Amino acid sequence: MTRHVLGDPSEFPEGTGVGVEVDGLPIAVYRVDGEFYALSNRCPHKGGPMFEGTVDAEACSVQCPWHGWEWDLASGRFVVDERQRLRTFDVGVEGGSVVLDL
Amino acid sequence: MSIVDLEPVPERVREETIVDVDFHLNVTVEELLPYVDDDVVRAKLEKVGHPPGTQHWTGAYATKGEGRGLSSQGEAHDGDDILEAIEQVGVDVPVVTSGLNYLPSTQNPLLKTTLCRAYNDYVLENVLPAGDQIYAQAMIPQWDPEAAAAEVERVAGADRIVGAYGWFGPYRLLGDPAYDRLFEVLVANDMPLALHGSGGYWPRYDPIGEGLRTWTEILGMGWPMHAMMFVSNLIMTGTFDKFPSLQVLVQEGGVNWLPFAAYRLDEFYQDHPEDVQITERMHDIGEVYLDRLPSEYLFEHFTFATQPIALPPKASHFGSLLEMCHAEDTLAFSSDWPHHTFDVPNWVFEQSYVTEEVRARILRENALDLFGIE
Repeated sequence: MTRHVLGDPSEFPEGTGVGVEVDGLPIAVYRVDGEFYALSNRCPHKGGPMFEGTVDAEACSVQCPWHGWEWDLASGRFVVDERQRLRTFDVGVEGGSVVLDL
Repeated sequence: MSIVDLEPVPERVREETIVDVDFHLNVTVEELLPYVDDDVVRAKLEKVGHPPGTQHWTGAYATKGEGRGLSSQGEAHDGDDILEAIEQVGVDVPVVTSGLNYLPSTQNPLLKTTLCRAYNDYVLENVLPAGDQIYAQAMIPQWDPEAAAAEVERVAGADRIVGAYGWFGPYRLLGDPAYDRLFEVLVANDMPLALHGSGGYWPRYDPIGEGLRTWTEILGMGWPMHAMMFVSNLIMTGTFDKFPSLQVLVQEGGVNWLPFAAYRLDEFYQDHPEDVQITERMHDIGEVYLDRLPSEYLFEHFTFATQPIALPPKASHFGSLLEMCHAEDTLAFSSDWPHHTFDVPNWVFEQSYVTEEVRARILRENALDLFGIE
């Protein structure tokens, strides 16, 4: 496992997603109520860009922008069918930077 | 106002010539007011707007987004808007359809029949002139067969009005011989009849309608069931025996039920054919049996708009369905833009079981044949 520095926390606005690429993997990073979450940036339904999705802070979820499929930010699971999930990544703030383990 | 993002349409899809047989205009009653040809009706519509319908459920219950899902991809109010929208979707030739699908469930025939004429005049003046590639289906007052026939006759000669647009739903079935007058003028003008899903939905006055709880049931299943009943009724009452050149397009009624309906109708009819002769039309023309099997009418007199295509997860199953549905003759591409239930043309290219030949039939040839577009 390698720790990757993604940037300053100010580059991750509250309540939205940011698309990053780590070791060639497209990842969507979200900051919701001060917590950081990271999911695969590709919706398994049709490949929609998850970082552009609509975040629901109360439900701690994000909806794909193309067809509205809703995914739990913490577990990566599809809220309608928990057998389907997006890959999740450990992400947080360390030493003043946002870091992600891969 | 768009509330979802469009799934990107790749260049390969854009390069193909695509006809869309169900591309909606979001015209409002307010925009139609200058085209309302009756002073009393106009005065009333100015006060009340769109007349109230019977709908008891809304798409807004079922999505986190706002609204009823009628503007999810955007809104088109005139021909320039249509040209902009087809560019986004990768469509070349839109056969524009009305967005006023709640109209048939409204109460007052005078108001809604007048609105049909206003809509058609609005389309002639504000939509078709924007580009030669735009075609349109004229909205007909289906609740009044005589008025529907008269409206077809009134607009049929107009350039690029290529079909008559009505609805399947909880309404009088078209096997009723009162509709023969409509079929006569459609056939005489070489125009197909389009039947689209409508905001009448499943009526609340039976236990099923009262018990339905979700949009998935009401729109997802209710519409195909109503479509099946309209299709079956047209066939079994001898409509195509009396009007052998009549063609019908079914929009948003679903596709994958075709094999079941075809062979269930055949099986049942062959076991129990005696009631066909006591349908009014067949009795009137003195026929005892249908000229052909029900499945033959289904596959030869009907075209089905592809949205909702409802792809099965296993691609080979979709290949089998296409074959069983006689897709090369029965399917014509539709996006249903700009509604929440919406398909970009990408699936026609992504599905490995759609051959080059079938793709061309689905994307343009079946629609061009149906509407007589050169």
